[in-house]
Amino acid sequence: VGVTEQRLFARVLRAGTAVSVAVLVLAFGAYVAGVAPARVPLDEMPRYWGLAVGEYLRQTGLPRGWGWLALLRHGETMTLAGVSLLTSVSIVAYLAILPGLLGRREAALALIVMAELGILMLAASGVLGARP
Amino acid sequence: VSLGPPILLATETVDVTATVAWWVMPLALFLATMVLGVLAVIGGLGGGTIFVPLVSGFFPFHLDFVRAAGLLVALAGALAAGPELLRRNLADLRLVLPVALVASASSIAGAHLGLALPTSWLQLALGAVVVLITGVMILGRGLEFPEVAGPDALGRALGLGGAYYETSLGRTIAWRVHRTWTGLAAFVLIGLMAGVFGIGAGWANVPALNLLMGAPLKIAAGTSVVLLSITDTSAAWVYLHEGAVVPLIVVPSVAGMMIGSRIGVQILDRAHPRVIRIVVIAMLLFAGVRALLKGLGAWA
Repeated sequence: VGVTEQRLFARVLRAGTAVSVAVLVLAFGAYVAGVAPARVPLDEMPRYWGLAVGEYLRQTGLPRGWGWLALLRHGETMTLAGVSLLTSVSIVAYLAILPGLLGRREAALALIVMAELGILMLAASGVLGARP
Repeated sequence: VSLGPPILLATETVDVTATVAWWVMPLALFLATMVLGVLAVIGGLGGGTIFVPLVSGFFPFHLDFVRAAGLLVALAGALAAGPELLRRNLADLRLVLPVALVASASSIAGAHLGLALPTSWLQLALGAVVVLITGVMILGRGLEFPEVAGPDALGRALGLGGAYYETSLGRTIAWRVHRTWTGLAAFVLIGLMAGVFGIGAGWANVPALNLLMGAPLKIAAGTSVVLLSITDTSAAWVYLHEGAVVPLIVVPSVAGMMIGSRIGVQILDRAHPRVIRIVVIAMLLFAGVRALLKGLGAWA
């Protein structure tokens, strides 16, 4: 990894974080202000946040996996979009440095980056914990 | 005709927090994490490390949601600080890449394990880990410039080493690492714990990079931050897909910790780090023992 890749990685992290946090804050603001309707009424949430996650999903009817994408008009799921952007920043940074490593024939590090991308994308895909 | 307030049977319990307005706990969480952010910076402790034990100990949220929020708190903090550390060469991407690979893979396994284990087991294990963390914090002293006679074969093959400008000495310090395989093995365990408990693993990353692999203390601390931004990403996806990310818990926590950290940096010069460090370690120890007792069923 040269100085160029390290700086590029840093720039992508910085920009990606700024965008993600902005989306997260705006979506959350819309959620708690009632601009984006809540799927589970806000005043009912204190009844659910003490439950284990399985029971919480069963009682609220909220989905697992990527199911929230179909509910994006709701405030809490819109906020999850901001969270998923935040958890995608590192993936984009890895994608950004890969061409440079391949171009400089840094084979070992390029392989590590590709393996890491595989792991991160596997986690992001939701395949590992897929349940109905 | 009202006969007065209903009488509770002795076997019935009421969750008092479920009767307060929905915004009270998120607001309290925001204020509390802001204070934690200040204390974390001044006490030199990771915000993600102290978040899970303290919030799970003192708020009514289930441990599943607190662990997911803890990962996102650590992730947001790492993403905020990482770019500047990389720009100033205080974090080394070449060192991050192999270590992050094993840590992120094991953190996914850890996240699944954490969501599958019974809460009482998790409380017990969390209590033990938090007591261990306080031990590391009390006893652990890093080596500023560890002696590395020569790099091992893997470290040499991957070119793990570099140079940074040490302002306190006014010169450039060249560094390299050794015991790379042992270090990678340690990060399998560290990633697993990060995934299971949702705690930022800075408390373990820094000693592993510094004392085990021989990276200078500043490089170990900076690299640990960038490492968190990758390890916590993979585990956070698992919690997100399992439905454990609750916006009313996550967003106040992330916002509070980020604002608190900035305030902490501003007042760092006027604070008493030693006193604050002792206070935070005492709080952690209390939360750890409490989690242990809850896990054993000895604390209601």
